[in-house]
Amino acid sequence: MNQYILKRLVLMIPVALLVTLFVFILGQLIPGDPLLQMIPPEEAQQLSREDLANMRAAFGLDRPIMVQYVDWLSRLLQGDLGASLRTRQPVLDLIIQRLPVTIQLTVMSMFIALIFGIPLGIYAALRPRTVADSGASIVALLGISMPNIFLATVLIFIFSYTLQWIPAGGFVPLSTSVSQSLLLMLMPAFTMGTSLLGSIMRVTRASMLEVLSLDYIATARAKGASERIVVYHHALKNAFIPVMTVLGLQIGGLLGGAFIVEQIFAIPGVGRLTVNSIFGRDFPVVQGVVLFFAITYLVVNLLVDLAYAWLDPRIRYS
Amino acid sequence: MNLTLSKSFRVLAIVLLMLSFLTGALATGQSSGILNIGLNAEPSSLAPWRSGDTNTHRVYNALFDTLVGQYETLEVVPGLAHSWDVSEDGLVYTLFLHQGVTFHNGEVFNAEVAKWNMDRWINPPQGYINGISGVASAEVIDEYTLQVTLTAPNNRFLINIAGGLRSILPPQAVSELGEDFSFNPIGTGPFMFEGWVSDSAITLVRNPNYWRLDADGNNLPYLDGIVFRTLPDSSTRHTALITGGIDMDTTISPENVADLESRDNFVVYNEPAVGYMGLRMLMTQAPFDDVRVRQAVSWAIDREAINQAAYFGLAVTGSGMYGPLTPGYEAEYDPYAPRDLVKARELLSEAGYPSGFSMEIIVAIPLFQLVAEVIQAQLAEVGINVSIQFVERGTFLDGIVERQWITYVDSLAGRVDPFDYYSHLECEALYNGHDYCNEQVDQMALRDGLSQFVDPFDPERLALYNQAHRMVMEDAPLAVVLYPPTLYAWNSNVKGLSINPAGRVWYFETTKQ
Repeated sequence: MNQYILKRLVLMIPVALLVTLFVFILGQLIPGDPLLQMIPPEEAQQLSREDLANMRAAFGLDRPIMVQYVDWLSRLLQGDLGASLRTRQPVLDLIIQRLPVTIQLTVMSMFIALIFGIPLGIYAALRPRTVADSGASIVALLGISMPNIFLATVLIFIFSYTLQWIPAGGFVPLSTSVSQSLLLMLMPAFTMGTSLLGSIMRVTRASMLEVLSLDYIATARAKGASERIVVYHHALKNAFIPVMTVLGLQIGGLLGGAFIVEQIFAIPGVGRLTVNSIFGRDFPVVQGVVLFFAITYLVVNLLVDLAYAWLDPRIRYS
Repeated sequence: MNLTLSKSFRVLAIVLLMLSFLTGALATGQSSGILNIGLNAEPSSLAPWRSGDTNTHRVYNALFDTLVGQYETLEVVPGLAHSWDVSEDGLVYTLFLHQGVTFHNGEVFNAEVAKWNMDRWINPPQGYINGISGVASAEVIDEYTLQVTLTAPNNRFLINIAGGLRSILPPQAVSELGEDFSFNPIGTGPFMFEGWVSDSAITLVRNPNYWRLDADGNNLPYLDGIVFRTLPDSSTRHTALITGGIDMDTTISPENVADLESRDNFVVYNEPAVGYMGLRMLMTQAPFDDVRVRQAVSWAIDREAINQAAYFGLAVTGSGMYGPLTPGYEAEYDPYAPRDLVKARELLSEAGYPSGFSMEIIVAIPLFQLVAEVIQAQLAEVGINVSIQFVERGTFLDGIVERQWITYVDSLAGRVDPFDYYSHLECEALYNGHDYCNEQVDQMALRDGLSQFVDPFDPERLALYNQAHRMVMEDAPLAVVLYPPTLYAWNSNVKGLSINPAGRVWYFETTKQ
């Protein structure tokens, strides 16, 4: 097993790097000059094409693509992710700064999704094809199909604008005030959690239905086990594997796709950093973030695969 | 016995504390408080050599001072320099500096420091955005007198050093911090940097040693601090203003103005900023290589309709580049108004397009897409078939510089002097997306900013610029539509903001009740 884990970890490196190479090339191909963005037209009165060319050379942006990539790679091996073109801050610092925020948002979203999604899924699975089942499915569908922008705006309108219970946006670190931090994260986490909730509920329901129809469940019931033990001890553990798959797949989305929610609720997470850097053509930051996401995604998938082995003793890796 | 003693000590302590609060309040003579300002984007850096966008300037004006300023009007008034002399030939400026000014870190401000700053603008390191041209040298005459020699007379020299990019910085701190200064800015300004939660909030506190006094001799500023909160979504920002999360919003969407005005406790500030919004046309591409076609487009536009549709009627419309607050503005000069479809059709026929033609308008922000859609409908009435393409900002800027866009909707802000209106029209200029080249205009308007006039507001100078203005509008490289307003809103308990025609804000005498 340990050999397997080691093999997976080693294989991660070329995969992650391939992704960064792809993004690097893509970044060079798209139109948009980072230098033009750094100096807005209003301030560019005196700027000539020659000045731009000089600045480009100073930033090393005039070198061939592969030269720039290899340079980036060699610095990476020394633990240097480069510096933002716009702010000159080390990219690693930027990411580390934003990471706790995104993690907090992701964890709270997952929490909401699981806390409501799994029980709802079990509830529906135990009453298949009843009104309760349809009701739960409708809730799930609403969660999946409602666009984040819309839900976020509705939540702000109700809880901030009308009821004035929660401030409209903003972020407070947990270290400053746990209650404020959680309060401000509530609406964003709920917005992101609802789409995941829908998927979790559907998968839980489907998986539970399938498992509950298996022979060993009938055997357990015949042996006189209480319904509670049948559902939670015998069925759920096996039903959980597909749910894990969904979670694993969705975490990547949660981590990166939080941009809209971060934008609307003014949360300084990695999502906004990524998108603002793309718009600003801040290539070093984009590269750094892509590498980070690639590795995170690969690690999460490894953990999910390992979790399978734990959940299902029949699964063995070599 | 001990308990009673300590209890009375506690009471005494509380009374003393309350007395000190009282005297503190009496000393300032004004209410204090923390002003929360909402921004639509975060400054990328607080180093004046790195960042120059609008939001960054809002913070600069609290942290730093400049040698001179344009705080309320476009007239240059004293800043760190309390007075100045200009030589007869307009080449030498002698600036007399305030004494007793210190930076937030204790460094002293004097002529040496002013010279150090000016030298960095004269010879900026690679990549700095706050270089200055036309200045030969700066010399220290005595401890509080700085003499600046220009390479040629330039009546806009003082205007050039009035802006936030030319904030006065502390040499020692800058040398020690280097690029880290971006995140630990130190200045002489009314507020000091306290903290920055990335992409969330920048916190400033009152500078107790600020050198400026109000008219009664009281210490400024009045506020205890300012927090700049980054709230990128306009609805969220609007909600935060309504519910008190912020006290001032610096980027109001025109559609939210009605809501604000319907409430008693908000002030909406609406002034036409010195700048314009219009449709630029690439003059090297048919059919826009014919001046008659360009003029026809301008005649066919109904500016008030665009104002109503996109700006909810909040803007001032006009067909010339100069707006109401531009020095030398001529209210009666409105070359392509009122809308004249007959004339437009005539011009198009003469130019050889009696049944119109097709064109594509490029836009980069949703507001301008709306503007383009109205123009599309209006130009259809003279047979011009318009399609619209929305491109992302980075691509947009590239396309202008590469002369890729044939027509595009664009705006220009912060034109504090007539000279500034011609930089985008200079032959071969980077952002001259019309590829306009008129040697006569270049000669008149740009070469030296008409610096034979020492006073930039000299009526004769302004008259000459008006001539240049007319020359350009005859050529019609662009069809101006309106002058985007400076739209701010704040809670009515906030008073004393200084806002100049370019929309820049200062907080010296701001209070929050």
